[in-house]
Amino acid sequence: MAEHELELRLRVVGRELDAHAPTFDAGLLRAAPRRRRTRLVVAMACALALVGVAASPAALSALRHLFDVDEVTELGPLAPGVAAPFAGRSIPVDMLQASAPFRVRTISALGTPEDARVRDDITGGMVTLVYGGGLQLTQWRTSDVSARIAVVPVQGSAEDVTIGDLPALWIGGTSRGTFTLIGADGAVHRESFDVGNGVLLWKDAGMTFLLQGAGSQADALRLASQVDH
Amino acid sequence: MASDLSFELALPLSSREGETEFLARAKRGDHEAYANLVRPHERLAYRVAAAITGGGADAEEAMQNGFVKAYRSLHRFRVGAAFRPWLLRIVVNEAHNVLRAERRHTRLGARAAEQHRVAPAGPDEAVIAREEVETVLGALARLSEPDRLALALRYFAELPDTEAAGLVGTSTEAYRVRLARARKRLQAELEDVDG
Repeated sequence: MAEHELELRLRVVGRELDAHAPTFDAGLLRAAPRRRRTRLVVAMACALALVGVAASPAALSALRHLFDVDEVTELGPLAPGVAAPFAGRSIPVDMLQASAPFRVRTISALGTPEDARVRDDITGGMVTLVYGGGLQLTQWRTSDVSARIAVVPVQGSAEDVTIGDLPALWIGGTSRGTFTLIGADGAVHRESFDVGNGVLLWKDAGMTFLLQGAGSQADALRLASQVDH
Repeated sequence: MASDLSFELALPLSSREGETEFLARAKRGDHEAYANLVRPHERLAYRVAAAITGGGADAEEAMQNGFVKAYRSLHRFRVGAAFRPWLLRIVVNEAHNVLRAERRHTRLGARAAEQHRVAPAGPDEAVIAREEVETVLGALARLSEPDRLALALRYFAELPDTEAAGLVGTSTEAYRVRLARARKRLQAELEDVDG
């Protein structure tokens, strides 16, 4: 098939699709009023993790490149069937590495975690290290976990930042998120999670990280830069 | 044929009459003004959504949701910027969301055909046209998402390369490279189907 023939076929199909194109239903706007500017909602979709909101088109493009970012302004109420978060099995810290499905990265500058939790109920596994003061570092292997995350910054905002050379997304203030994960049973599971003190999301060396509870953006970035490689 | 289609599509899209006014009114919460603002873009948005999702109800959902989300984001739309690529980008994102949320990647080819089989039967020409839509959407569904998007923006939405490149967040040159590769892959897929 010649190239021009292919182009023609595509254009004709595009035209055929017009017969199915719906008219926009403006009634949908009444069902969901516009949000205030300060209540940005970010839906983060990743084949493997994340996420983002951007303050400018350029920043959005940059994030999209790495995180496949989606930006929306309204998440809406949690749908029925969203479960309370499951923290995972508590594992003795000295047994963590043997129990985890990948090499766990720690923040050695903070010393030994108070607790370590392993999720083996989801495909690919997930590990959360619990440090003092509500600080938690959750991690998973990017290529193994299919996750969709939506985060609603209730107060504050979201912005793209960098950890050294790595792009990352910071969501300050209080936020509510929804994890959509593929369980080890092959089914889709949805869980909510609440964050009261900021979230930082980034990818590094095949891993995706979610740091919760660092407080300030500066502290989050500092801690992220201290995650072992 | 191609030039005729280009003209047909360019006509409503190039018409900015009233857009500024509709935009201003929509930002103040006027739903009717917003409906008027997006009406010239409905077909293109649906075409692109169909290329990504496989068409049918998924494409419609992506278009409708994308338009609603765009409405809610109007306060972030920069005055003076081009509305069409901004709107389409949101629809594209929504189409990806629909696709991924349902995790239909592996079933997309089958779905593309299924979505269009629900159309009522018609004269022979209509049947042939529908089969062609199924064939092409099915072949598109077997490509990667970036490939589908590149082809959709060029041939379904008929965007200029610079606009399409901006929409996908890459350089024009990189977009053209992607497009050329996508075309070859689609060509191979269709040749397999066509025998």
